[in-house]
Amino acid sequence: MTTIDSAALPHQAKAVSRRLGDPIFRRVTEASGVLAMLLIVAIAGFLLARAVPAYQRAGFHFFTERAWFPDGSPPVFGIAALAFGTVVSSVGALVLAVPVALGSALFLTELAPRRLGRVIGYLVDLLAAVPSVVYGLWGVYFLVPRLIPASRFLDDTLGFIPIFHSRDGTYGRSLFAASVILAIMILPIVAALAREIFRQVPRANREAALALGATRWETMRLAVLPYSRSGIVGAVMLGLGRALGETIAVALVLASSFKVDLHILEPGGNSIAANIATKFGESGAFGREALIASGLVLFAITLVVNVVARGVVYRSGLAAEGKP
Amino acid sequence: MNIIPNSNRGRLVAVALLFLALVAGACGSDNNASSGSSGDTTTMAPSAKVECAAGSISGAGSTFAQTIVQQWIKDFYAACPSATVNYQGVGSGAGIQQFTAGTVDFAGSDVAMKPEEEAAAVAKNGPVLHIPWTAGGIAVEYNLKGVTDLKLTAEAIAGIFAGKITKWDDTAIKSANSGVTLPSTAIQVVHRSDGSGTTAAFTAFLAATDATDWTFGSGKEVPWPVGQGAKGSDGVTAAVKQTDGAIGYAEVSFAKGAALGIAKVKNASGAFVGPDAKAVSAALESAEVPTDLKVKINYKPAGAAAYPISTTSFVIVPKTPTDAAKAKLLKAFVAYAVGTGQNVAPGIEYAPLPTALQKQAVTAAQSIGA
Repeated sequence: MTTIDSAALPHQAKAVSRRLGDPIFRRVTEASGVLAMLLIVAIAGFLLARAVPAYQRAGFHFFTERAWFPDGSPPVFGIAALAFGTVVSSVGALVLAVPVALGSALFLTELAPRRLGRVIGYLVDLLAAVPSVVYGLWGVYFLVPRLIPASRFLDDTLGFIPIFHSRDGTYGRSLFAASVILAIMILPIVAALAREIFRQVPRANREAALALGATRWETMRLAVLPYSRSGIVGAVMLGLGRALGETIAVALVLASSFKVDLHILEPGGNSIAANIATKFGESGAFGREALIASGLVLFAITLVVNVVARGVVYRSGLAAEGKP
Repeated sequence: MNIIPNSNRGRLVAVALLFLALVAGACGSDNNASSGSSGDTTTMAPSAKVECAAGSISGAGSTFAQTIVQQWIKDFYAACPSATVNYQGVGSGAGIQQFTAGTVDFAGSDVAMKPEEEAAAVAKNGPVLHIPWTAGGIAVEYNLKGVTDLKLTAEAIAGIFAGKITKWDDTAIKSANSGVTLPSTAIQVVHRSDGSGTTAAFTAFLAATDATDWTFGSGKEVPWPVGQGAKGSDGVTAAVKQTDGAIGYAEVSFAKGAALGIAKVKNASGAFVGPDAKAVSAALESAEVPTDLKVKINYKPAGAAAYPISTTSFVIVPKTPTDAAKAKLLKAFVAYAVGTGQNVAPGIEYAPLPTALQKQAVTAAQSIGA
C-alpha cells in the first residue's frame, strides 16, 4: 500500500513560529493523552474499589445468580441473566444493523448520484442525534406494539427454530424488540464510519478492477471490501460498544426478567446497563455497590470486545498487506 | 482510533468528534421532568393564608408525590414570589440518600425511613421529622376486550399476581362479576421493574389481605413469580394498554390518563369500591397514626366507602435545620402543603389527608425549627 504522508512534505517557510509552536503543541497533546488515560484509570479504580464489597458478599454466586435483591436479607443477586441479555440484545442488534449499514454505505459511496448520496448520508447521520431516551419512548409507545404482529409472523413461519418460538403466545417487550431498537441506534454510527472507510479506497483500485471488466458488484467485492475490511471491523465494534452500554432505551423497552432464555420473542430479558438504570433510584447502600459491581462486569465485557476487535483488525490488516 | 486505516485520519477524527458531540448532547438530555400539572385545578385560592418566607430550598425523592409537589411549588411561588422551592422526583430511596448526604433540604418518601437510614440521617442532620403530606389510591388497571366494569376481591388480586389465577374466566373472578361475560383470555401480569413505593404499598396490601396466596413478601421490590416488568408507572400502564388480557397497578392518574379499565376492589365491609379521592381519604381514617406520624396504612379499612389499596407519602425534614433562613422557608412550604395545599389534591388524582391527620401534620410542620 502506498500512502501519501502529507506530514513529510517540507514546510520550511515559517521556521521561527514553528520553533515556538512545536513545544506548546506537544505539551497540549501530551496533556490530552495523559488526561484520557487518567480518566480510564479513575473510572476503573472507582468501579473496582466500590465493587469489591459486593463481590465479597456474593462470592461466585455473583456470576451465576439470576435475581437482583441486593438489599434483601440475605442479599441475593447475580449478573448471569443480565450479562446474557446484554450480549444477546447487542449481538442481535449487530445482526440487524450491520448489513443495512454496509449496504447504505456502499450505495451512498459507490452507486448513488453524488448529490443524493450526500443528502441521504446526512439523514442517516441525523439518526445519531436522536436522544436515546426518545428512542426508548418511541420504542415503548410506537415500535413495540407494531413488532407484536411481526413477531407473531416470525413465530408462525420460523417457529420450528426454538429461538423464534413463543411458548405462551405472547410477544412484545422482548430481547428481539430491544435488538431492533439498538440496531436503529447503532445504524448511523456504523453507516457513517463505513462510508468514510469506503471513500478512502483509492480510485486506482476501483479503476483497475473496472478495467479488467469487473461489474459494479465485482468491483466492490474485489477492490472496495477487502481494502476496507479492518476499518469495517472497527466500525462494527464501535457500534457493538454502544449497543452493550445503551441504558435508558433498553430499560424502557425490555420487560425486565431475570431468566437466561433464548426464546428471544417472548417478553423478558434484561441488560446490565438497563438494570442499573431501573434499580439505582430505590436501592440501599449495599444495593448501589452491587449495581456498581455489575457495572464493572460491563466494563470488562466492553474491554474484552475491544481487545478482540483490535486483534481482528491487526490480523486482517496483515492479511490485506499480503503478509502471513 | 487505531482500528481505522491510517490515511485520511484527520477527516475521520473530525467525524468522530462530531459524533461524540452529538452523542454527548443526546445523553445530556435525559430529562425526566414531569409536565407540571395544568393550572386549571387551582380554583380554590391557594394564597388564602400562606405564610411566606424568602430564600431557596430543594428536595428530592418520591416520584409518586411529584405531581402534587410541583403543583404546590407553583402555587406557593404564586403567593410568595421571593421563595424558590425545587423538587426532583428521583425515587424515595434516592431522596433519602440525598437528604442524608446533605445535598437536599428535604426528602419525599413513600415509606418511612428504616431505623438504620434514620440513624444515618440523624447523625448528619440532627433529629428528623416524618410528616405525611399527601396520599393516593393505587389503581388495579386492566385491559380486557369487552369488559368495562370489573370487580375484584383481594383474594382474586393476590391469586392473579401470584400466578395461581391464569385465565380471566376463573371462578374467583367470575363469582364477583355476575352479569359480566368474562372471556377465557390468558391473564398477563405487569409489574414494576424498578424499586417503587407503589410496589411497596401494593404488595403490603396483598400480604395483609391474603397471606395464603401471596407468599412473596412486601417491599419496594419483590420476587414476582409471574409477569413482565416495566419501568415506572407510565411503563406499566403502557404495557397494560398494549396487551389484551393484561393487568397491572399504578397511581390512579396513570390509569385514568391511559383510559384503562380500573377495577373496583372489595373492602373489609364487603363493598366494591373504586380508587377515587374520597374513598382513599375514607380509608386513611382507619390508618394507624403513631406520635412520630409514621402512618401505617390499614389495608382492611373500616367503612363501606373506603378503598383498601392506598399509600401515603411523607416529607422528611430536619427538626432544626442549621440554616435559620432555610428553616423558615421549609416550615412555610410544608405548612402550606399540608394546609391549604391539600385542596388541590382531588383535581390531580391525589387524596387529601383526613382532617385529624391533617391537623397533626400541620402541628408537626409548625414545629420545624422551633
